[in-house]
Amino acid sequence: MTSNKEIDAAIIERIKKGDTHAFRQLVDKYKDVSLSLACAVLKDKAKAEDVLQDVFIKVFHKANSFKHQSAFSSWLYRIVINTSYNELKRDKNHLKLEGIHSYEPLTNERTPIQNLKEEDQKKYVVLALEKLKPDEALVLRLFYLCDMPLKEVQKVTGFTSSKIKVDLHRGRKNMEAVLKNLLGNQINDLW
Amino acid sequence: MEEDITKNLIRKSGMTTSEDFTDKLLLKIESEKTVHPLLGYRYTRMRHYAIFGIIGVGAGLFTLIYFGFLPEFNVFDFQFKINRIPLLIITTWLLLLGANHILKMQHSANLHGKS
Repeated sequence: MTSNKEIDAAIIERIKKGDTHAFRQLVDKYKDVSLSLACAVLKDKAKAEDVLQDVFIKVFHKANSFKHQSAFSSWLYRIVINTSYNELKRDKNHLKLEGIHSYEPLTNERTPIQNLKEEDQKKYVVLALEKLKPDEALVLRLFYLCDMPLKEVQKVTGFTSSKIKVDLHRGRKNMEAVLKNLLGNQINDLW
Repeated sequence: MEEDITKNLIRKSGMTTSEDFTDKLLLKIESEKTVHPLLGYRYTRMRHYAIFGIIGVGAGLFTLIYFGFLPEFNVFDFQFKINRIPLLIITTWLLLLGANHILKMQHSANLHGKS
């Protein structure tokens, strides 16, 4: 059976020859996860999409420099993360993150979670992740959404393993706090 | 919050790009491809001007030196005279060096354009 890494390698070889159809295939495969990672850092979907456009253009031009030493996804995510952090640094006017205890609930009357549709549940979780610090949200997404082992997260982010463990722990705790703040006791219905 | 719950929740938080994301991206790449040759054309023309400039200035200097213009100058009553032959050799050498450099640049630009 052909592994994911081999499939990506074959696609990249085609991209190196200038095949834009192969490039489209690669973009469609990775764009959503990449957006989630960029959003974890930038907290702004429109800005994250702009960053992603730049990232994929960079990938298209630099495909020749990809040596297949690591998985393509790790290479791509590293570029996404670095570009997002650079954008965050450049954007001097970005909103300072509020303290975790100062979040206001979405509405005065809390909606019973069992009445929430899947889409609304997603909205609350996305909102909770947006309230986390960029490092915490990023590590949570890499670990749980991309199913990356700790070592791979370390490679992709450049964080130390102890920082990753701390961010994972704090991320989980803070996410729970934000969700509790948003949903009250109804949070228990989420799980 | 327990790990499996977090995992379940975060999996729900997966985001999707706008529908025309890939089309926009490919359009940008295509437009870049058409802009690069235009820039290449502009720089090729600039290089042509530079080559003709160097050749013109060099030929002028060469003629002046050949037909008797020999720089002479006095510093504190010491008269400096520069001989014709070394001056001609230096001018020719500089001229060839400049032309060679520009031709090399042009060659590498052509190779880059092809790739």
